[in-house]
Amino acid sequence: MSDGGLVSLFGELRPALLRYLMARGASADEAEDILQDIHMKMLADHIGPVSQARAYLYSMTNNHFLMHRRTADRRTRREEDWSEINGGRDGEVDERPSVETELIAREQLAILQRVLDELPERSRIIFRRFRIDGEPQRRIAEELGISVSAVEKHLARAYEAITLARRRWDEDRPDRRHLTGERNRHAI
Amino acid sequence: MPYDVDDNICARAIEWHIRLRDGDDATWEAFAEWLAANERHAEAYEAIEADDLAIDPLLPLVVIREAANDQDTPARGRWRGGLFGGAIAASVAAAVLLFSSPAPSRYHVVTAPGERRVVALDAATEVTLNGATRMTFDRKDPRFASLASGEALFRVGHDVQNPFRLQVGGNVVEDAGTVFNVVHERGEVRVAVAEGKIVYNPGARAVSLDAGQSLVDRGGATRVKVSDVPITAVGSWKSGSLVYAGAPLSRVAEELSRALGVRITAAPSIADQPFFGTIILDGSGAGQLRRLGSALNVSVEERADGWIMRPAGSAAP
Repeated sequence: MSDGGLVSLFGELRPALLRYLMARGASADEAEDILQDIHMKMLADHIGPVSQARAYLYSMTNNHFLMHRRTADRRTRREEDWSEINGGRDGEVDERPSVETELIAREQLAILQRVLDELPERSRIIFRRFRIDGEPQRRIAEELGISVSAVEKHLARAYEAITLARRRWDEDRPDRRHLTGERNRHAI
Repeated sequence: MPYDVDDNICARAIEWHIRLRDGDDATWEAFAEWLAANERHAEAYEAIEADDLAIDPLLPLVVIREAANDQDTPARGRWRGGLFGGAIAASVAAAVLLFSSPAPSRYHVVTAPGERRVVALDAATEVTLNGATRMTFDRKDPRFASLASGEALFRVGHDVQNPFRLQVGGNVVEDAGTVFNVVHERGEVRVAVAEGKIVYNPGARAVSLDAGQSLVDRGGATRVKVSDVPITAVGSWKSGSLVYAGAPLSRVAEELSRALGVRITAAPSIADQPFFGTIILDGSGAGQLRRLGSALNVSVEERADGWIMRPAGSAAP
C-alpha cells in the first residue's frame, strides 16, 4: 500500500483517537466530525510511509482538533461581534484589528520580553533554540553536552514563567480579550 | 479559565507539552492515558497549549539576550529600540546580531518588511533574504544556514563532500547543486527548486525534489506534499514578480506584505480563494495595492493599521 498502511492503522486506532478527542473536551459529535475530516484528508493526500505512525496520527488528530476549535470560536466571535456592533451591512463584520488590539499586542510583547529577560541565560537560549529555531531537544542536548532531561527542565522553566505571566496579565484585566482572542471561548 | 488546577498538574502538563513536539508513539500513547485519567489534566493541558499558541505571533519580535553579548550595546540598543518602537508598525531597520554562545561564530541576519538583503557565504553561494525574515549563519561554516522565519532564495555552489544544509525548524534541506526558495512561517515550510536538486530531511523520511517541483510541510500532523511549480516562479520575488498557480489569497497577502513592507491581510471569507496569475511589483510600493484589487478580484482597503483584502464589491465608498 502506498500509504504504508496508514489508513488501515487509522481504522485500528480510531477508538483510541475518539477517546483522546473526548478527553480533550470534544463532544461525541465533534469528535466524529474531526475523525471523518482526517479520514477524508488521508484518502485525498498522497501520504508516504511514516515512522512512528501512531504518534503521527495522534498529532494529526490533535491539530485537527485545534483547527476545529478555532473555526468554531471564530464563528461564535463573529456572532457576538455582530450582535455588539448591530449596524454593519449585510451582517458583515469589521475584520480590522482595533487600536486596542494593537495596544494589547504591544503590552503582551513587553511582558513576554520581560519574562524571557528574567530567565537564567541558559534556559533562555535553550528556549530560543527549541521554540523559535525549532531545533529538536536531542540536538540541543548534544550540542550543549547536557542530557535531554536537563534540556527539558530548562524548557519547563521557560514555559512556567510564560504561563505565570499570562495568568497575571489575565487577572489584572479580566475584561480584555487576548491577542489571539481565541482561547477558552468555548464551553468545556 | 482553567487556572485553578494545582501547580503539580500544571507542571506535568508543561512537561507533556514539551515532549509531544517531537514525541514518538510511546510518548503520545502515554500522554493520551494521562489526559483521560483526570479532567483537570485536560484543563491544564489546554491552558499550556493555548499559552504557547498565543505567543506565536510575538516570538519573531522578542529579543533573546545572551550575556556575552551585552558589551556590544550599540547594535543591540538600536535593534531593541527599533523593535519596540516600530516592529509592529513594520519599520525596523535590518539588524545583524552577534551572539557568542553556544557557537561563537554564529550570527543572525534580520530583514524588515519590504527590505531585501543578500548574504554571500562563499564565492559560489549566496542567500537573498526577502523582507521580514530571520536567519542564522555561521562564520566558520559557510555550508550552514538556518531559516527561523520568513523567506529566502538560495543559490548554492555544490560540493559533494560537504553539502549545503539549511535548517528550517526541525527540518533540513540539503542541496545537490541548486537554486531553491524556502519559506518558513507559522510552522509551515515550503520549498521550491529552480535548478538542480535538493533533499528534504535526508534519512529515513527523505523527500527529494527536482527542478520544477515544490513541497509543503505543514508540520507534525500532515505529510509533506509535493507538487509541480513553474521554474520561472521560483524566487521570482527577487526580480519583483510574484507568480501564483492557485495559491490562497492569504498567501498572496502574506507575500505582498513581505515585498511591500506594509501589513496586508485577506478577510477570512476569501482567505482560501485561489489566485492564478502574476503580479509585477512596479516599485510604487503600497500605492500599487489599490490597483491590484481588480487583478485579484477583491477590493483592497487601507485601514489604520494596514491593508485588507475583502470580497469584491464590499468596499465602503
